[in-house]
This record gives sequence, C-alpha cells and structure tokens, in this order.
Amino acid sequence: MTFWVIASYFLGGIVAYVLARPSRKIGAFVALLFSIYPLYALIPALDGGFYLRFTVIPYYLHLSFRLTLLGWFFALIAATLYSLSLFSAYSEKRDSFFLLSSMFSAGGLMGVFLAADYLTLFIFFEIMAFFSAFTFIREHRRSALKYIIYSLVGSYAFLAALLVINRSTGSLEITPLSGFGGSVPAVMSLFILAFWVKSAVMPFHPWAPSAYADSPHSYTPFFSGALSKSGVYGLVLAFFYIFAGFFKSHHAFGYIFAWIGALTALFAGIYALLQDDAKKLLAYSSISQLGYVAFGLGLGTSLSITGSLFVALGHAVFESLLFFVIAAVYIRTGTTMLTEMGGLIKKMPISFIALLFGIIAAAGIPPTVGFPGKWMLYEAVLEKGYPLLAGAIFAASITAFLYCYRLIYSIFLGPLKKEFRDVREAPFPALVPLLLLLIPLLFFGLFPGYVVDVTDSILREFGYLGVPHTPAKLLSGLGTFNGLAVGITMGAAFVIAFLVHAVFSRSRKVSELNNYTAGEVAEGVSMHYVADFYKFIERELHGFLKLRVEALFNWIAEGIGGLGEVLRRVYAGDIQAYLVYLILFLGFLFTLYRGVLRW
Amino acid sequence: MVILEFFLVLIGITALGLLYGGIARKWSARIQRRYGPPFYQNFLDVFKLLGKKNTKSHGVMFALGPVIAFTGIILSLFFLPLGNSRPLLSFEGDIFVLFYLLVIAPLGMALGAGEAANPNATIGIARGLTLMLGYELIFFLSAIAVMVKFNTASLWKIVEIQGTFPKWNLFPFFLSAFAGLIALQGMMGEKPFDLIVAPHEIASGPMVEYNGKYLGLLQLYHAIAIVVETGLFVNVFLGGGSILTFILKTFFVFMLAVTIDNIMPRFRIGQAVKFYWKYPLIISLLGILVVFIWR
Repeated sequence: MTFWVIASYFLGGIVAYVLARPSRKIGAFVALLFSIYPLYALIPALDGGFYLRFTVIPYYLHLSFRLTLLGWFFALIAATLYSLSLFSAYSEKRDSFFLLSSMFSAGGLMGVFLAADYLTLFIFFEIMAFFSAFTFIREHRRSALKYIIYSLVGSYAFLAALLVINRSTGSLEITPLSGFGGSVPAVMSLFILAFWVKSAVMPFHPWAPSAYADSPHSYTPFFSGALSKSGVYGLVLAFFYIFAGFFKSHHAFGYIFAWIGALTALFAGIYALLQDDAKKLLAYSSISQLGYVAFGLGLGTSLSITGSLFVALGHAVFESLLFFVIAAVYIRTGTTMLTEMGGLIKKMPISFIALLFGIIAAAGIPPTVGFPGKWMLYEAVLEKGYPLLAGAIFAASITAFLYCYRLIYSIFLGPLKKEFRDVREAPFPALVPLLLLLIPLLFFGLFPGYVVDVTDSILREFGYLGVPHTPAKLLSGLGTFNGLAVGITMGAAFVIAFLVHAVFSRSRKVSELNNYTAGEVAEGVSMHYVADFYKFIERELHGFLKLRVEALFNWIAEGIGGLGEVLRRVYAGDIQAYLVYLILFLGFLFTLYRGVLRW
Repeated sequence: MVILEFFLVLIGITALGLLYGGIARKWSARIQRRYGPPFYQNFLDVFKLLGKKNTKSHGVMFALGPVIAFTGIILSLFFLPLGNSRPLLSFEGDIFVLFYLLVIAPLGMALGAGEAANPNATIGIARGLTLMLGYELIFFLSAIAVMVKFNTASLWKIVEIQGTFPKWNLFPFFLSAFAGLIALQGMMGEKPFDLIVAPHEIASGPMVEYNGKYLGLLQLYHAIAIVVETGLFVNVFLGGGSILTFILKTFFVFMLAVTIDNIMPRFRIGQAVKFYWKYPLIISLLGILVVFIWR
C-alpha cells in the first residue's frame, strides 16, 4: 500500500500530463483523483507499521519504505495540502507540465516521509527538489536556479554523510547510530545541512523568499506548508532518532540550535514587516514560523518537541491558508503587491474572512491552531530557565502581529482602488481550500489534545515522555491551557459585546468618502496609507538591515562567477590556443618525468 | 450563580475603569490649574455616546471592530486574578495566555479602524503596533525575571508566593519592576508614549472615524483596559491581598501613570521605539541578571 501512496503521484502525474493536453479540466480532475488516493490510504494506516522493499537494479539499487508515526504525521499534512492546492491550480488554469512536475514533487515528498533507508531518502529528496523547481523554472529561471543550487549544497552534504555512515556501519537503513567516536558532530552537521536548507532556517534561507514569491500561486501553499516540512522531518529524525545519543549528551549543541531558531524567528519576522510583496511577506513569515520549530527542537524536552510539531502543523494550516488567499486574490486582481491593492473586503468577503482567521492563527492568538504550539514552547523554555531565549521568541511573535496587520490592511481594508470597482469574489474552486482549511484551523485550536495524541506516540517511539493532556486541555509542569474553555468564553464574551452593540440604535452606512475629509478628496489622490507602512522601524534598524547573509552568499557567488570568467579565457574555443596548451602540457610532463620515465 | 459572578465582575470593573478615567481627568485638570469635569463625567460620556441616534458606519468590519475589542478585553479580564482570588476562568492566570489574549482587543480596534479608509487612523495603528515592539518586549522581559525565579507561569501563583506588603516583588525585583513600569506607560498609551492617539498630530488616530455607540463601546473597552493593564503590573510586582487592596493598588499605579502623562512631552515614534530598545531593555536585562546571581 505504501508503494501505491507514492506511486499514485507519479502515475497520476503522467496520466494527468497526457490528459491535460486535450483538456485542462480533465487533466486537473484526474490529478485530483490520483492525489486523493494517498489521503484515503493514509488516514486509516496509523496503527499498521509495515516495511516494504523492492529492487530496482539487482545488487545495486533497492528502494525500501516503511511507515513510521512521524512520517505518517507529515505525509498526511502533505497529502492534504497537495490535494487542496489542485483546486486552486484548477482555477488558475495551470498547464499540463505544471501538473506533471507538481505531482512528481508531491510524490518525491511522500517518498522522503516514507523512506526506510538513506539512499531512498536521498533519491526522493532530489526528485522533490528538482520537480518543485520545475514548476516555475520557465517563468522565473533565476529564482528557480537559486533554489536548486541551495538544495544541491544541502544534498551533497547529505550524500557525503550517507557515504560516511555506510562505510562505518555497512548499512543504509535509517537506524540510531552509536559508536562512531569523535566524528559524530561532523557527520551530523553534514546530515542535517540538507534539512536545514530545506526548512529555510537562517542562515540558509535566502532561496525561500524568491522561490515562494515566484512559484505558481496555487503551488506556493504546498511549497511552504508541506515541502519545508521535509526539512523539519529530517531534523526531528536526526536529533531524536539517528543521532539521539549524541544530542542528549551534548546540551550545548541543542542550546545553540535553539538560539539559531529563535533568531531566525525574530529576524525573519522583522524582514517580513518591510516587504511590499504579499508573497514575500508570507515567505518571511513562513521562515519565522519554522524558526519556532527549530527553536523547539533545539530545546529538546518533550514539551518543546511537542510544541515544535504542533507549530509545524499549525504553520502548514495557516500559512498555506494565507497563501491560498493570495492566490485567490491574484486570480481577480492580477497582482500580489500590497501597495497596489486595498478595500477588497467589500468585493471578496469570503477571502477576507479566510485571511482574517489565517492572520489570527499566524499571530498565535487563541483559540486557533497557532496558539497551543507557541504556548508549549514558552512553557518549555521557562521550565528550562532560559529567559533570554524566551524574550527572543516573544519579540518574534510581536513582529507577527505587525506583519499580519499590514497584510490584511493593505489587501482588504482601506479605500477601494478605482481599478478594482468591478472585481468579484474569487471562483469557487479557489475558495474550496480556504473554507476547508478553516476547519483544522479552529478544530485543533479548540482541541489541541487530538494532535498531542499523535505527537505523544511519536515521542514515545523516541524514548521521551508524552505531554499530559485531555482533548481540550494541555498540561505542562508550570500551567495548563484549555483551548475549548478559551473558545467558549470568547464566544460568550462576543455575545455580550455584540448585545451591547445591538441594543442601541442602528447605525447608518455611509460611503468611505463621508469622513473627516467631507468628501473633498482630490481625484486621483490615494488615501491608502500602505507604502512604507513601517518606515519608522526601517529607519531605526537600517544599520542592522544592512547586515544580510545574502550579501555573503552573493559575494561567494560573484567569486565563483569571476573564477568562471577566468576559466572561459583559458577555454577560448581557439584551436591554436589549445595546440599551445597541448604543447605546454607535454613539455610539463617531460620536465616532470624526465628523471623517472626512460624510454 | 457563576454566571452572575461573571457579570458582577464585568460591570464592577467597567464602572471602576470609568471612575478611574473620570478621576484622572479631574487630576490632570488640577495639575494644569483648570477646574476640570466632575469625576463621574466618563459615565455621562459613555451613556450619551451609546444612546446616540445618528451613528455612522463604514462597513461590517468597522462595526465589528469595537465589538471584537470589547470581546478581547472581557476575555482578558476573566483570566486575570483580582488580588488573591483566582481568576474567574482559572488556568490560574497563565501569563502567556493572558499576553496573547491582551492583543485581541487592539487588533480588533485596528481592523475596524482600517476599514474606515482614513489615513490618520492607519498611521495611528502603524505607530501603535511599532510601539508594541517596544513595550510588550520590555514588559515580558521584566515579568519573566519573576517567572524564572518562582518557576511558574501562573499569575495567581506569583501573587500567592509574594504575599502581602513587605514581601512585594517590587523590592527584590526593583530593576524589573522599574522597567515594567516604563513598559506600562507605553501599554496604556500615556505620555510620553501617547503617539497612537496623538490628538494634535493625527486627530486621535484609530478613533478618528468612530462615533456614537462605537465610540461608546471603545470607551468601555478603554475603561476595562485600564484595570487589566495596571492589574497585570500589580499582580506581578505589588503582591496580593483582598480585592479592595487590589483596587487601591491599581488606582495608585494608574494615577502615577497619569501624573507622568501630565508632565511629559510626546516622543516621536522613532524616538519612542529607540528609547525602549535602549534604557528599559538594559534595565530589564539587568533585572534578569540579578535573578541569576541571586539563585
């Protein structure tokens, strides 16, 4: 069955590619059918751990798969998001090549989550990386190549680690490593680099903003919500399974990683404030959320790991919801620039409501899926007694309020732009993912215990204690959180507030120009305060903002480019030059071997 | 019975907040050598505003904004311990939950004001959110010093552990308390941090388009917010006691803020944020250092 979970995507990709040629509708429909099968197969598969091995080339290449709880958790997230993204892709009228490459990338991702040996993991990791880049390489060559290059750096490091591990253990199966002596830190660093890059934790994040911004709008939710989870999956596997012995005995490593995660969350949050492109803003927001995940993994207590996995789930739900809204808005407005939109609430109310809930969750306000994970992380860091780390992630979560408000205000609030007076609500297929994602967004916020059930089993597999909980209630050593109680009280408080509002005389609806300007706004003057929204922060931080890791990477890239220039002078494509090289080379050999070789 | 208690607290605290506001107006007036309005003026204002027949609305979100703001502050109130009594909805006043619940109200107001399409409102909101990056962090850092020392996230337990007068956290944690006080000034939007409303620059910011019953609702929100915000500080640093002493303490903290408000000019937004990231940040970090040395 695992075989078909993965094969369904590859088979479906090919079938959809062929069928989408004559008719896009049929192609998209077939792709959807093939992508729903893994979902259908995965949901009941929780209790059946199994192992599958088959040979591709005898003696040389075996692929083996197994279903672990951790893999199941992430695979289910990925399968759901992929199916949803096809609805949006249908509205965007994507072509057959998009269906093929996105299906293959989803299949690659499934393979990563279900792989039982390192080689299988590596192969599917590469498939995933390449085909996800193929979805947008035709329109945005530069950012796709950037993404591929960053992925490749990680993959080669992973390949090196794989070879070392194979040499010393003689096996490629994913099992906890013991022994190994002093080279564990080096092997582990090589191993996690690939996943570090893929989860876009700083300093290996620069591919993410451009790749998320340039990938097809319907694909980005899957890209950010699910593909980045392959990085989280690998990190969890490395820290708590493969290198668990090392990780448990070296607290400094975890502490440093926690700081990296916390600073990622904070810095990415600050960068997100200053973006004018909605997708770039969300890309940085996505990096920031994954910083929280890395932070929790670094702390390494049961509570913090549970918190991390919860944030990973929450991120998959709300970040992809937000990206889906941007996709829906793009279909109608043709832009993702915050400065070019405004006032769409009156035209696209359903998208507005979806975005509203999305930002509430992204800001981490209870009772949505964004809060319980963050709460567990705070409690965990307090239990450990690291106040500065707590301060760093709290500062990061304040930046979330700032960029979230900017996002919703710039797109949906403020005055309506003249060119959007006739805009309608997005087409129904593009709204399907928005409405469906609202369900887990609220449900897991009210009943975080159902997620913790799964994460508890995962933790027990790794030899950690679970987090005490009931469906609605989470308990830490320091406190409790009850999602349902917050939800019910919020509902009651809303009713009270609404009654106060409703008992008094009804209001009169007036046009947006009926305000303090008394309608005397000059024609063509935009009253939308949207460009340079947080100029004050930019001004105060400009020294800090100049320090960017991109500058370092660009410097390296320029160096390599310069090297290429030099090499091109040598390989000038001129026969006479080559002849000179040949003679020089022979002369060199002659001087070198004159005393050794005699003939 | 429980529901009755909820309503009693809600109405009581709202009245208390309005009373505080009224007394503060009188106090400010006396500082400025004016006669000032009567202390019950805020009650009259709210009743007048709520009863207005001619209320203008700019859309659904505009109308819902004050409702959400009021919802958020009621919710925070229910999670706040009032003196030694447990919070009505006991997670024992988990500070992290409370911090996040406290954000709902400003966010609701910001969303509502956003739909009014008035740039003054949005400038006020942008300033408010920016300022949040300053004071929220400082307040968090000063509270976490106490939390790390007592190893709890529960406000109620912090109140229980400190006990009454001479054992207030104010004395051992005086650095954190001082930073927290500066943060509180920003949280309540009093001078020198009143740039969100800044009546002379941006015509009272987010409130600029609100009128009639919406403004009334926002005033009710503001009344409760005074008690909740000062109550947060009182619970962390000024010990426990009966509800009466709680009321007295919040009153004094609020009057202190109002007094400072009356003798200070206003920061520019850049200056305010920079200020927060400088001295209060250093003070609160020193406060944390003290906790670590003390352990």
